[in-house]
Amino acid sequence: MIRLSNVYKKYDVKYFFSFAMLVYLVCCLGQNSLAEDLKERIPSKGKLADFRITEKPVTYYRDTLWEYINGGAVGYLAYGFKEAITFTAAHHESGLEFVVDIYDMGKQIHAYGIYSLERSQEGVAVEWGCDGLLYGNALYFWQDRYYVKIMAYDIAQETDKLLSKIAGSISRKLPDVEASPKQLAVFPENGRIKDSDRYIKTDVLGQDYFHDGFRMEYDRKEQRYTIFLIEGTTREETALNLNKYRAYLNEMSKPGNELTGLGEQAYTGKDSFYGTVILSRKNRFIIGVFGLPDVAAARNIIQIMLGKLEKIDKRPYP
Amino acid sequence: MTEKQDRLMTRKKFIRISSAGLLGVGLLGKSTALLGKSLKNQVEKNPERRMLGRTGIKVTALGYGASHVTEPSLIKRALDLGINFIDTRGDYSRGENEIMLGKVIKGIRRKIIIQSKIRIRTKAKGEALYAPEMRKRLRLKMETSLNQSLKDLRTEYIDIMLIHGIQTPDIINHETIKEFLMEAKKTGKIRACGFSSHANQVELVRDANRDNFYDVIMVPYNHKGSYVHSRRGHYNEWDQSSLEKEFKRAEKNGVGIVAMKTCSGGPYSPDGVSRPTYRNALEWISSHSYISTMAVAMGNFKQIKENIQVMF
Repeated sequence: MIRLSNVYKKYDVKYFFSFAMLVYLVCCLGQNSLAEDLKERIPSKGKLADFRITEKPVTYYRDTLWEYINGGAVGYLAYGFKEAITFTAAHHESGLEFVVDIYDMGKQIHAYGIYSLERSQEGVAVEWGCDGLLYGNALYFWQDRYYVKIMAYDIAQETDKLLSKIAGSISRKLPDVEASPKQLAVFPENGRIKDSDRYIKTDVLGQDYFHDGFRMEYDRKEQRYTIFLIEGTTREETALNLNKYRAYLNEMSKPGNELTGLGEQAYTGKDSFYGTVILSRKNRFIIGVFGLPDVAAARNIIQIMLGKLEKIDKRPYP
Repeated sequence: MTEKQDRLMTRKKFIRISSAGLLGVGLLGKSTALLGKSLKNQVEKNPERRMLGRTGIKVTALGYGASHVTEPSLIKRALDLGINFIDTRGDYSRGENEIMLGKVIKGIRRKIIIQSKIRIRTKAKGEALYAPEMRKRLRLKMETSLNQSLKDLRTEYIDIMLIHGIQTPDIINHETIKEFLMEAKKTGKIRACGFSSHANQVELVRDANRDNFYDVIMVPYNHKGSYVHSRRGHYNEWDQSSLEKEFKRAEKNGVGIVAMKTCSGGPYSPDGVSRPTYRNALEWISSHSYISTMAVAMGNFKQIKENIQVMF
């Protein structure tokens, strides 16, 4: 007679192996689909009729990206880089060659982040992607979770037109989603310096305890200053981190003052690069105005921004 | 005090610091405010400066590998604390690193030593490297890169310009490259020239020692004689004694050696018993007289705070 416990054991083992096999297959399929997915972003011959791909596309992963961009890989990896595909396209008529890189950054915010760090403020806006620029011999844009860079080997009269043509053919192959970070809406419009917005994933303001920061530069009434919005994980952690940063500012300069009636916690301080610093915390957010000596004006900016925070944070506070 | 006496002081200091390793570890655990106060006090002392070979440039024993830093106030704080050597590169983040650095050094340019790089990417080898078209391309690439760095850094000169990421001697021995660097020195666009390499450094330093053209060499060097890149996983090892032999020869030739990948060999314990630290790893490098400075990548203030003690 077969004992019931043995049946269970037998079935447990069977189920275990079946489950393990299923997990393995899903993982393999997932990996393949990601690799296939990126190759599919390369425009087909029909869509890029005037060009030919001169070198076989090469794919780079997290452990091989350095082979392609050397030390530059460090920044990409910090922003969640998954994989990249690169190929060279030559224009039939002019013979001009273009290097095309498509980076899969895993998340929209990461694609925006790396784009925002590499973007030049001297660039000219292009119509492709969520945001994109043409600067010198290169066109770069981000769209969905992808960051695309197209570089011309030589500059000729038709380079810009051809860069745009390649960009368009890639953009049409990427998901068409509106993905601008909602945090940017908290920043004041007045005095914004074009293309100065940045997303900093770690070590915001050079501090290991600050992460997920957004910064924007301003030029108003001949006064240049910078505004930061830093997201913390919890209210308590953020309060603690703000105190640490206050201690950091006080290490090298005259201690600043505590401010009342501005969020839940607010201070002034001095930084040798930015100058006057005004910081305020509300729940798990910190807003900082750096380099604006007019404290009343900085307070006013923060007050308005604090009012907008609820719109971007629907999470219940712990 | 002579340069040699300076160096002896450094060795003595190294022994003292090594034996007090545990004390140092203990101090690091103190509150931010206390440490802040000691940092402030130290700034008032003069940090140790060393001659960068025959260049006539004096650099702090700890340099800042700032290529990946995006926060200007962090670099400014490091400069406030006494570091005077900054290593950057024009093509990181599409030049944004040098643009940011240009803002930081505004008004204090003369006090800061800037090392930047030109990267030459070519698949050409052998005779193809000397073809007229290739010479023209090399020259154009170097001219564009140097002028862009000067513009982005908002400066009239770069203290040290390196040819970056060399793997074989054919590039550093190329006449067009040498001619360009000589001209750049004559016109005052650069004060000194050199090269950097991530691999094959023993052969490259040996080769450079033969004709003694380059003023500065930057290569990986640490207590382990190898490195695994913390994020990229890339592995490289070298024959430590051969490299040190070449360094000594370079020192005699008046070549300034800048160490990189200094922390990629991991933390170090001088006595093998105390807790290994990165600060001790830097002290180990700094204790060698042939090392002028180290380009240490520091992404946040916590790292600066730990490493800055090396200079005092």
